[in-house]
Amino acid sequence: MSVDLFFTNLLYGLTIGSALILIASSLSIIFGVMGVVNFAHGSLAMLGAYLGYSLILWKMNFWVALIISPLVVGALAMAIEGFTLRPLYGKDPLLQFFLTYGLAMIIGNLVLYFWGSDPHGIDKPILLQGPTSIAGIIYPKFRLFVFIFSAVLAIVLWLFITRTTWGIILRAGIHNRELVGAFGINMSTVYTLVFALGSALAAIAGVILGAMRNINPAMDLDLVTSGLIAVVIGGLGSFRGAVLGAFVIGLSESFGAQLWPGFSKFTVYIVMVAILLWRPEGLIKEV
Amino acid sequence: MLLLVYGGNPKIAGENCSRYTFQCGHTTYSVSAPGVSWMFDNLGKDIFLIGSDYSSGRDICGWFKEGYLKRGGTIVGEAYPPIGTSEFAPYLSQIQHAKPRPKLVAGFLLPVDTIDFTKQYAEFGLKKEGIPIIFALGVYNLACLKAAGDPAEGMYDIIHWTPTLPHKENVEFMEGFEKFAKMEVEDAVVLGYEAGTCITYGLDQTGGDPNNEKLVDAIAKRQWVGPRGKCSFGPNHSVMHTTYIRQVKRVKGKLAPMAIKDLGLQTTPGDATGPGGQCKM
Repeated sequence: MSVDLFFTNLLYGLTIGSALILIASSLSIIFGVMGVVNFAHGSLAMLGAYLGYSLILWKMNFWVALIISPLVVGALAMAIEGFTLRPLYGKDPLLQFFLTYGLAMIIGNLVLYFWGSDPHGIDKPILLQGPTSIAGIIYPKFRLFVFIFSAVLAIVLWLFITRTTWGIILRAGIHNRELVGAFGINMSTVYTLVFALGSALAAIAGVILGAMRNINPAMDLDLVTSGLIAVVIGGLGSFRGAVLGAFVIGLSESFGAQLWPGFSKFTVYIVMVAILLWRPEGLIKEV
Repeated sequence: MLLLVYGGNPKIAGENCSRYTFQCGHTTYSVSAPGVSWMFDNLGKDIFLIGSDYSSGRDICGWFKEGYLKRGGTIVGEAYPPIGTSEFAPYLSQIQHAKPRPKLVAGFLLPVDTIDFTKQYAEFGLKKEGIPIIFALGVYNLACLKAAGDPAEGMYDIIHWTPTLPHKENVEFMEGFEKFAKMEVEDAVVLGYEAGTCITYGLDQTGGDPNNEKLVDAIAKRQWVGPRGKCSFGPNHSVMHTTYIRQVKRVKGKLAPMAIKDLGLQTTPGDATGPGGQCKM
């Protein structure tokens, strides 16, 4: 592989990873704080993508869709958390997993009912269409935006978690929910807000990915699988780990397709197995 | 008796043929290989091949490769992304770095994959560079074009039908189906309809007798003009149909695949997938 091709793939791998950061980090926050492996996370991202698509069809622009779609999905997530997940807290975690699996099926079928099975696409803003050049490498403008946007959001989230009172509550809640509750903090409200925030981030990812790829009713499984792999690689419940895991997936996809074309889909799984054997707790073990 | 509507494996026209199997729709061969000559003469001699990593993708790239090498063309690169690939950056970077620069990118990706490939192809500046895509099996259908949008404009595909064919049978079928089903006609609809008419034709010929042997004999002799135009079955029971080169154009504000070249009647030889594969009934 030439140096030129190496740097091109490195750049593309980082971009693929950056698009996954929002899915993986929000999945990780939900797991870290609530202890819920949210199998419906990909479905909420898919719903965000479809809502974004419809908003643009209704003559709104991409940026408006990028704001409204997460708000709607976040509000829906509040209702889902309140009515379905809350009664299961403190019970067998498998019940929560099966519940979110069921929710994924319901959301998937609702998407099929309202939007049909044909694939759709979200138009990119005119400003971000076409390529630009970075050090001689032809690079899509929209991907550059995704890279910067995801990086900024990830930094904001990280600052929120590490530098704010709410972040302290979140981190404390991961270690000892009862004790945090004993300080008069309503953990029930914290759970609702975390689930809504995580789902809204998934919806943002859905709108962005919908402009990079096509939107179809099967995309939820792809998204949740990639998100879960990133979280497992990075370390369950770790925000920084999820970010790292997303980049590992992106680079595995990018270089795997170059070096082992016949096995490119498996490369990421091979990497995941290798990391789990080496560090079963994942690459990073804290929030 | 088995009437295949969408089963395109060419081995059914060859070593796996059967008196009781009819390939009514097309094969991957009949809607790809006949286009090689036109591609070579009109799009360019240096080709980059890309195909979904399964039999159809590899077969089609194989026929393009064989046709190009026979004519003195150059294969500047090949890539076989797995089925369901949505991120084509690693493959597009191979096209970006291919030397000599390809004059066209050809092959076959599954329709959903084609949407992502086409969108990302434009994003990576390859469309702007003037390198066209030509895919087999008519993947630039209306559903694909709605999702892919502007990046698909100007691209090509190869198939046996297009909604704008002007002959009476197509116009009447389009109007009738859209009125009946309240949806747009796609090539799968046409294939389903034509396979259905094979059954009704066979039953008409036997006076309604569903006897398998009589039905097979009747359908094997059928010649018809349907939405696709003239069709018949060859001795290996593989359909003979007209194949077209289509180009995506904007018509009345909407993208549509328009037939730009009639490649004439095409069928699938028994040895399409290799020597010694002839059909023995």
